[in-house]
Amino acid sequence: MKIGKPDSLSSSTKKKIFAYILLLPFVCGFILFFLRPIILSFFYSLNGMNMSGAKIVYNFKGFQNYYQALFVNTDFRSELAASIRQLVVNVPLIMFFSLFIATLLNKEFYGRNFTRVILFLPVIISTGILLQIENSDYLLNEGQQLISDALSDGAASSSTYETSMGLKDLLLSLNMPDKLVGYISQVIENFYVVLTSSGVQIVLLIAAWQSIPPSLYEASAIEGATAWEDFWKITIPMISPYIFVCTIYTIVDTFMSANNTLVTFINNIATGQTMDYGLSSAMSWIYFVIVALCLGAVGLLFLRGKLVTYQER
Amino acid sequence: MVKITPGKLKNLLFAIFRYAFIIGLIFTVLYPQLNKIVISFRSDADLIDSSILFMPKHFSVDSFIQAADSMDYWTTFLRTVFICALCGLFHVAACTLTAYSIAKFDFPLKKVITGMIILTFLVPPSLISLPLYTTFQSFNIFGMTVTLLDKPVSLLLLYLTANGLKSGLFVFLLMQYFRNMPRVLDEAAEVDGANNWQILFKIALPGAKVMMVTVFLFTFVWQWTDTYYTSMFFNEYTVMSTALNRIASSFAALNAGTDISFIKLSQLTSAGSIIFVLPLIVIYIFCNKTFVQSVENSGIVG
Repeated sequence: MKIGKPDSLSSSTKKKIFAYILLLPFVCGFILFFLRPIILSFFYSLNGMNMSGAKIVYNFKGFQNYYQALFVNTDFRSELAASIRQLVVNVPLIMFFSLFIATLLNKEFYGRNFTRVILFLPVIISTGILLQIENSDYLLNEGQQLISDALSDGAASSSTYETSMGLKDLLLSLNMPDKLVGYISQVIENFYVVLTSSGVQIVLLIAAWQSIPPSLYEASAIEGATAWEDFWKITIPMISPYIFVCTIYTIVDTFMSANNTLVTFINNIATGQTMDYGLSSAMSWIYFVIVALCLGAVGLLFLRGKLVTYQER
Repeated sequence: MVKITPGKLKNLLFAIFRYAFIIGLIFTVLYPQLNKIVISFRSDADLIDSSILFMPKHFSVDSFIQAADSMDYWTTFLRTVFICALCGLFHVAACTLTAYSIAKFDFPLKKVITGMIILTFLVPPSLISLPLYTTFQSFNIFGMTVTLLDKPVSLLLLYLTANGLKSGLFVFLLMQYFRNMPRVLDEAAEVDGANNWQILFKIALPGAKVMMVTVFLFTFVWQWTDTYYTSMFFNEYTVMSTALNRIASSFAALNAGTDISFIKLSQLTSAGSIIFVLPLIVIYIFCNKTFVQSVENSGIVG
């Protein structure tokens, strides 16, 4: 200890400087690779861009690109609607499905760990290029059926389509409302997508469930509560913060997934024949605003609707 | 004799239902992969044989060899391992430092920085992809303009600054982790006269080893399958994901002049994705505990 020579900097100032030093790489990267691109992209969206030689010529168009995206380009609106429809169908499904699987896997049984490992596998192998291939590849999608169809002049329809149609007819003949039948058949068609997008959520919800103190269930058992009451009065409130987090994660994941057709559509506008960077950027911005609105709506629903119970600590 | 009570019967029925359902789920997850394997093992004759529904009649590994040739497998493989490992290391370093700083210290701009991290997570990548491309096309270092396209540096820079693939997510995971680490050790070390760097390297980092391994593994795996960055930055410079993406055209180029059927190309894609994913499966078999537990931990921390 040096006595009589006061430290030039106090310990708390030193700590602040240290914190900033550690943050330096992130902040630099944020400005260079995030903030600047975002501002540039907004700038692009307000301009028409033409290549003259190697140089890009900008001509200011105001919000014309946005107008064009929303009201002139008919494909964009339908793609956007399809993307939102997919979100509205899939996100609740993924959440209910994950919760259901978490219920199944919560209790100890033989093979439980193995099941968890397999259900988490899509997080590793159904991403990026592999997801794209699964969605687009001919042999994998239609299987042998289509090949034999092609050989027999494509007389029969593919088998998956047929079963789905059969079920649809059955439900319609039971006088169920059209919309409900449409929803159910969409659910069935989406089942694989739902299953492969639920890996993280399932594991997270099981972990949340396991962290509920057993004393709560013991107390309710003494009071004579049924398992059904336990589920709604203890489990759901206790894991509700994680359900909220999972929902946000699911929405973001669905919007950014590699098989999102809207993203592909927007990229094609920029890289395809049209090479219209301005229009593509405007579309991206509209898309981003909608993502933000969706997240905001879900946040409001959960937090204002008192669907999330936070424990007092 | 065992007496069957209604309660036992209920449990038994539930167990049967659970196993049936779980087997169904496992099958649904594994079936597409199984399908790829089976398709890849078909010989050329089997491909156009309509009587084959699943198992091939004549097993053949030709498609794997052709796929490996088209992807230039070993060169691409080693290169991709190298890049993904570097990306992983850089990402671990960047995310850990950022998360540690936010979780452990109080400073005026803390809320702003946290907001920035959330923003990087929420903004769709397609929004910034084009400006990012132009940034790297003419990258400005102190007045000198160089192009970083087709060089791994572009990717490494993104990871080194925690602005890469899903960085925000990892920073958050690590932040929660550091927040829940007991402060007693830090305080004891401080009393003993350790400076901030010593506390970071001697106490915080060794304690977060498991989380850091997790970030490394996830980055490695997701960068391996990534096409968003690789197709944007790399053209001549081939990595596994771009090689797989172009497998059909490279096979056609290798076999110029011969007539290649549509079905053959599709089979090639299957075989290609099998040899593409094999290293990841090996990693997952050995490290599945790390992958699954990291998500669990984040759940408990909340």
